[in-house]
Amino acid sequence: MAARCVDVRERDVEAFEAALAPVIDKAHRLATAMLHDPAAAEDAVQEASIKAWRKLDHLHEGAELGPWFLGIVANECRTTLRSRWRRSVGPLGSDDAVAPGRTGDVERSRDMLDALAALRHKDRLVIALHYWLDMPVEEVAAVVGASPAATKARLYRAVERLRARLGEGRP
Amino acid sequence: MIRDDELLRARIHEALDGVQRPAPGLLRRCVAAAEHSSRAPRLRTVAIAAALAAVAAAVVVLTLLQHSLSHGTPGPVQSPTPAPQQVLYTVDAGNDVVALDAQSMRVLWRRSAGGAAPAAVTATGLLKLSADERTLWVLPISDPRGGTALRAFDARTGTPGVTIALSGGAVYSTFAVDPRSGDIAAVGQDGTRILVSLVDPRRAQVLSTTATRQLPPRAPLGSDLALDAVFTADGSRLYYSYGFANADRSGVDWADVSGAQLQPCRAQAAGAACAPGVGVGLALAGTTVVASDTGNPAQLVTLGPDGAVRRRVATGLVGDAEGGVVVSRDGTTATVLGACPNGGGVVRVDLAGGTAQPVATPVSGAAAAPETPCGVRATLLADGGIAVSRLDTGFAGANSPGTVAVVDATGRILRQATLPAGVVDLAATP
Repeated sequence: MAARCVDVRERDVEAFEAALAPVIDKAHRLATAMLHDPAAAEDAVQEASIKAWRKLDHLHEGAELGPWFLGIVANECRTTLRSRWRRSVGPLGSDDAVAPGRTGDVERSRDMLDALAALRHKDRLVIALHYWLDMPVEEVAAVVGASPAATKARLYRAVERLRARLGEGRP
Repeated sequence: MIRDDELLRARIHEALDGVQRPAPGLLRRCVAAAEHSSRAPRLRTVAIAAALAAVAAAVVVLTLLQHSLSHGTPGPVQSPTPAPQQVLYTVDAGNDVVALDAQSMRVLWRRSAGGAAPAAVTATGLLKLSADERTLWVLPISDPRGGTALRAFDARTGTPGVTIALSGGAVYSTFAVDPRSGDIAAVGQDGTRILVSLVDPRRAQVLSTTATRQLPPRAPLGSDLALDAVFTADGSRLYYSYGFANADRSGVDWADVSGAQLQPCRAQAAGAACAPGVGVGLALAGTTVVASDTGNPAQLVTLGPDGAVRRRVATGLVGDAEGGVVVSRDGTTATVLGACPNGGGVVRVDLAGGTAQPVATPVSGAAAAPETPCGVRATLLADGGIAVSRLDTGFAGANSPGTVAVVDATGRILRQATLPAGVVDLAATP
């Protein structure tokens, strides 16, 4: 793995592809969770790939590409949502965002998507990483660049805010 | 109530599972984009140097011009008029949008407009430039019958722009951009009706959705789709074609546009088109509709604004198949393409005289040979040639490579580009 990291940092395209392959699906799922728009999610991952490729020098020797790349994807999603030109009516709150299903399921999913969309970026990010990508707190910490303890606290607060958005308190 | 973490996890999965879509080929696109971008710094350096040189040259030219003007004599220097780069845009069944240099066929940029199409798709008008050529509009395919949203890209850089969700319950398979207002009309169907949605792209809003034709009840739709759409130059009327599997439904319809209101044409028979049987290829020459038909022998048909047939011209192409039509900028000639499975070929039709001149002879009784131009979707190039998407099976598949060919005025294929998926539509800057 260390040799591969060296290859990646030396801008070897094949090594970059090999390093990206295990994380690309996670990256796309993360972007979908952040944007609620599959097409925009693909764009965000593609943009993140370009930025990662250009910033390979920033990747510390021996460091794993995965968490670093997911961090870039998260930043790209924030940029996408902030972009003034991107006034999308599709993602984050669109009626078309939820696949058809039973009415109750759809309403419940809609409530959850609305609640997630209303969260701040950093709250939505830790929730997406932990609850949607099923990453343990230590790995979430590596993506957000914080200590595991701080990440755990952030996750706790994010869940509280999500519960509040859903109109649910702690039992 | 969410009582524990696992329940919360399950609910989040349930909600986001409904949004997540597969993204086949994403890794390949990401690596290709990254590799392509590595050339950018060098290009940027060259661009900066070129810009500085251009500024210096401009200062010299302006000084000389000012000098000559102040002396009332013609200036010794004429401003050069470099030929602008013509850009060819494609969208393929993988929903990748690619910008190519029409001269070199070099890829200028490549973007994903969505996941790959779920099945082989019919080539329809899914890619259009805005009148100012700054925005490229794409209708990504999310269903074998079309898509449900319009996506904008910066035509120069490929930067993704607005996504506009179209009205629920319908699938749209073509659209047109009003050259005057910039509004967009998307044409689709909901199983029983043909629908036209008018969209204001500046506000990213659907202004109205109008059912313009009731399709025959309880009959399967087959492979019928809205195939292409075009506005008149003043934006007052939208023409669109629908077909191609069921002759009783195929044809051209139109609707007069006033603000967000549409006044559809009235057909003579219920469920039929206002101009039946024509319109797989659809273009305008001024106010005259120019359309290819699906009959045998193949004909090019022109219609007046009242929908009445003005002229039928036998093209000599093999009939019973869809074929593309492109009209020259001066509106005097139409170039008609033969479908690839039916032998292909190219015919040029003098619209005023009603005569057809074969440019590339179709292959008799067989599929088009590699050197024979063929296809459904085509676009005009600056030098009078055309670019065509070649679909050997007549359909575009996400897993079958696609070919874009540049064909000159004599019917010769000058150059080709191979793309990872079948090309559904293409457009070019003038």
